[in-house]
Amino acid sequence: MPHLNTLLGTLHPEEMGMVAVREHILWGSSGWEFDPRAWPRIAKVFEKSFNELLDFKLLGGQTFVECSGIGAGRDLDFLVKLTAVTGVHVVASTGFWSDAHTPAHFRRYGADDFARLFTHELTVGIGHTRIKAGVISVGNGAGGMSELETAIYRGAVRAAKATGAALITHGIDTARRQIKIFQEELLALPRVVFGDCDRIIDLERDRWLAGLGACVAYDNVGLEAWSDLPYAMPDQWRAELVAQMVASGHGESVMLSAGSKVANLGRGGAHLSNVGNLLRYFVPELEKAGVAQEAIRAILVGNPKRVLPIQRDSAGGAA
Amino acid sequence: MAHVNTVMGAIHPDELGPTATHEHIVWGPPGWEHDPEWWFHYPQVFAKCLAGLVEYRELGGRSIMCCSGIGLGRDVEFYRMLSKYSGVNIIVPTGFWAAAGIPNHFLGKSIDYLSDMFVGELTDGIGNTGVRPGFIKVGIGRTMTPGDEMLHRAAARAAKRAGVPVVSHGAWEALKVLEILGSEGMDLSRVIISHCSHGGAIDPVRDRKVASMGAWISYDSFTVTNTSAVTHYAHPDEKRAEAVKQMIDAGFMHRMLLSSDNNLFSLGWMRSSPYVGKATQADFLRSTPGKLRRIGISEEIFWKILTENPKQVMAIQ
Amino acid sequence: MTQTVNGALASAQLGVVAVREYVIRARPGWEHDPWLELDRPAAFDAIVSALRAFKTLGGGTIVEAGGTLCGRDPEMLEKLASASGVNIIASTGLAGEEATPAHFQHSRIEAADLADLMADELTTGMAARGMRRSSVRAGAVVTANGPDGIPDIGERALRAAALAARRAGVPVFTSGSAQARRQLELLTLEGLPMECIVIGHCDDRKAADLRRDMEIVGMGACVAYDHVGWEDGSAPHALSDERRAELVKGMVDAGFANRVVLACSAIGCALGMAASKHATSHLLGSFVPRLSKAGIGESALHTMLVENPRRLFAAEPGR
Repeated sequence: MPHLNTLLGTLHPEEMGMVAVREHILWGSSGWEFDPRAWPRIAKVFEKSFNELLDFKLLGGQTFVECSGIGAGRDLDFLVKLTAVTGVHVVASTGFWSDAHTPAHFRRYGADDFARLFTHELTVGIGHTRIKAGVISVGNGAGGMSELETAIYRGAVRAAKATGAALITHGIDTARRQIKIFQEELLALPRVVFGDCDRIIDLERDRWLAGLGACVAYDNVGLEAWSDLPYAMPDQWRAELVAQMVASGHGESVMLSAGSKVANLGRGGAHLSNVGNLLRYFVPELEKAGVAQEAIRAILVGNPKRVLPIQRDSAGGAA
Repeated sequence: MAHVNTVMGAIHPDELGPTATHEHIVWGPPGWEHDPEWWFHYPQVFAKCLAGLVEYRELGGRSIMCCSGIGLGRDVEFYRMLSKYSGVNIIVPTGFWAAAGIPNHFLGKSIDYLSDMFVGELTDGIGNTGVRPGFIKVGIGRTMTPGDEMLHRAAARAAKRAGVPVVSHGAWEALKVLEILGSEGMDLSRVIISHCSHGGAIDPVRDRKVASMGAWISYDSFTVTNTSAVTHYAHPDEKRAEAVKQMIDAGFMHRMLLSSDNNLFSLGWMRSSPYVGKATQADFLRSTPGKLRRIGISEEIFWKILTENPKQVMAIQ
Repeated sequence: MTQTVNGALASAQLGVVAVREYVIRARPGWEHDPWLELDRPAAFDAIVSALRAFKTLGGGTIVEAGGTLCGRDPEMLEKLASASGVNIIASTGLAGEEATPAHFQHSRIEAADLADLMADELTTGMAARGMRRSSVRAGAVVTANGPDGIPDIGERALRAAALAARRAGVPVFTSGSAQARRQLELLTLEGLPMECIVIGHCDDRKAADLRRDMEIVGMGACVAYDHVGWEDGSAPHALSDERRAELVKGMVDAGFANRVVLACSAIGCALGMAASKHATSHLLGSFVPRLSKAGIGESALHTMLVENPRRLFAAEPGR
C-alpha cells in the first residue's frame, strides 16, 4: 500500500495535500556543532520554524519535506515536536547532502554500507528510535561527483530499490552522471526527483529528464536578486520555466519548493527564502505566466502524491 | 550494570549530580489538550521551559525527575530537546498519578495488564522513541481507593521485574502504601513516599517510621508557599525545613530526598497557571539552602542530600 | 597552574603524567550510526577501573588528547576524574584532515578564528552536546596531521593552536611526527616558545628517527613516545615496546631525559574504530620496568614522567 512516512506516523497519499518537496529547518555543513560561533538560539529557531510552518499551513500547504539528511542539521526531536504542534506533515529524509556534509564517521562507507544505513532509517527507524525517514535525499557539491558522493548515490539507489522510497537528488550539474548510475543500478526513473533545476537553467535538460520519466524540481523559489548567491534570479524566470515545461506537455514531471533554511548553522551564507513564499508569491507568478490552475494543482499536489510515497509495484518489488 | 535511564539514554549514577527528585517539566490532567483555553503558543512553552532548565543548571542542578506520567504531559521528544539544549538530565516515569487521574482507556484493565505495560515501556521504550523511563510513578487520592491499590500492585510487580524504583504520591497513607508494595514482595528501599512536606501532610512520626522501614521520605514541595496560587499544599518552607532537621537529627539523612514539585509550564491546571507568579526548580536551589541554614543545616548538607541520595535510590542494578 | 577538568591545580601536584590518552574516541558523526551504541554506564565503569589501575601503580594525571572533535564529553570527563581520583587534563584542537568536518575546512574560517575557538575552550569552557558551552575547561591543545605533508586545514589548525596556547599558557601536543619540522616551524612562527611544544608520536613505526628527535630537543621542544603498548601488528603505526624502549634509552643516554615525555595512547572506549588492547596502566606496569631493566635510572624516569610534564604545564598565560 503506497504510504508516506511522516514524523508522526504514516499517511495515505491522499492526505498529503500541497507539498513543498525540498525544505530545511536546521541546516549546516557537518562540524557546526563544535563551533559555538555558529550556534543559533534554539528557542528562537523553534519559534521561527513554527511561524514559517504555520504560515505555509494557513496558505494551504500541508506537507513539508525536510531534506537535510544525516548530520546536516536534522534534529529528530525538534522535527517531531514541530510536526505535532503545527499540524503540518513533516517528512524527514535519510541520506547525505554531499561530500562536505558527510561526517567523518561515515566517510569510510561504501555503496552497500550507505544502502544499509538508508534502508534502516526508512524501515526500522532513525538512530535508536523507531521513527522513520520518508524519502532519500542525496547530492553532490559543486565540481562534479566525488568518489564518496558516487558511493552515496549508489547507496541511495539501492536503498530506494529495496524499500520503494523516492529519491530526491541535489546536484543538477551531474544529471547525466546520475542518470548513468540509475540506469546501471536499474532504478526506475519515475522514482527520482532531480532537485536544484533552477540552479543551472537548462530547459532542454529538464525536458530530457522528464522524457525519461523523472521529475524535475525548481526548488529555490523566492531566492531572488536580493541574495548574493550566484543562482539567485527573479521568480518570474522560474515561472516561465514552469510554463514552458507545462506547454511542452511535461507538467506531470514538475515539482516546486522554496529550499528554505530556517536556521543556517554556519558562519554566513544564509538562504533566507521561506516556504510560505511558494504559495503566497510564486503561485500568483505562475498564474501570471499563464500556467492553468489545473496544472498548478498537479504540480503542487498530484505529482508529489504520485512520486513521494513509499510504494512497490504489483509484483511486490520496488516500483 | 548500575545505571539511570534518562531521556537521552542510560547514564552512570555518578553522572546524575544534584537532582531534584520530584518535579514536572510540564504537567496537565488528562484531557487538557482538548481545552482551547489551555492551548499555548508552543514556542513560548519551549522557550520558558528551556530558560528554566538552563537557570537550574547554572545554579548547580544537573538532573531532574519529571513525575508527569502517561497522559499527564509526559512528552518524550519535547523533553529530549530540552535535555539536549539545556544539559540537564531528565528522567521520566512510566505509570500514572492516582487512579483518579488515569485516562479512561486504562480503567478496568487488570493489575497484570498495567504491570506488563509498565515493563514494556521500561524495557522497550516509550512508544516509538526508544526512550526508557527511569522509575514508576503511582499515587493515591485523599485515601487509598481500590483503583489506587491496583496501581500500586501493578507498580510493585513491574518494579520487581525491571529493577526500578517506585514513586508513590501518597504521604498521607504512607504505611498503607508500604504495606501493599511490601505484600507484592517489593524491596522497600526502592520506594519513595512523595509529598511528605505538603501543607497538611507533615508528620515526623510517620516519616521516622517510613524511613526505619527502609523507604525514602520525599520533602518535595519547597518553594510552594503561595497559598493564593496553590491552595491545598502551600505553606511556609520553614515548616519543611523543620521536618528535614528532625529527620537528620533522628539519623535519617540517608533516607531523605528534597525537591519542589514545580511545573515549568502548566498545561491546564488552574491553580498553577503558567502566568501566576510561581516558583521554579531554580528557585528551589536558590532559596532552600538559606531556609535550612537558618536552623543549622549547612549548605554542604543540602547539596550532599541532593547528590548522594538520588544516586542511591535511582540506580537500576 | 594547570587546568584540569576539576579545576586549576598546581602543576607540582600532577604527579606521574601520561601525556596522550583517550577516554572516549570516535569520529565526528558517530552518534548518527544506528548500530553504534555508547553503553555509557558500562564505559564509565570500565574507564574508572582503568584509571584506578593507573593510579594504583603511581599514576597521577592523564592528558585526554582527543581534542574538540573526536567523542569528547567534558562533563563525563569531570565525573570520571572525580570517581577515579586521577586528574584529567582535557584538550582542545582539531583532528587530522580526514576527521575534521567540512565546517572547519572552509577557508572562511581562518587561523585566527580557530584560535578564538580553542582559546575559548581553554579559558571559558569546552563545547558540549546540544550547542552548549560547558563550564569545564581544556588545559592543553592538540593537533594532528598525516605523514604526507600538512594540508591547508592542518596549517591553520597548527597556527591556531600556537595562538591559543600562547594566550592561555598551555602546551601544544602534535601528532604526525613525519612532519615534525614543519610543525615546529608553524608553531614558532606564531610565537609559541619551543618549551611549550611536544612533538607527538615519535614512536610511529613509519617515522621513528632518533636523529630527528635529537634535533628537535636540541631546539628546545619535547618529544613524546606516546604509543607505548601498541605492539607490532596492532596498528600500521605500531612498534614493539622493545624498540620503543631503545628510542627512549637513546635519548636518555644522549642526555635528553629532560625533553622526553611518555604515554600509551590507550583508548578507554572506542566507538566505531579499533580499540587498544592495553590501558594506561601499561605505562607504569610494564614499560617503566622495561626501561629500568634497560638501565634507565630512577632519576631519569622521574624526569620524564613527573618533572617534564610539570614544567610543560607550568607555563603562564599571555606569552
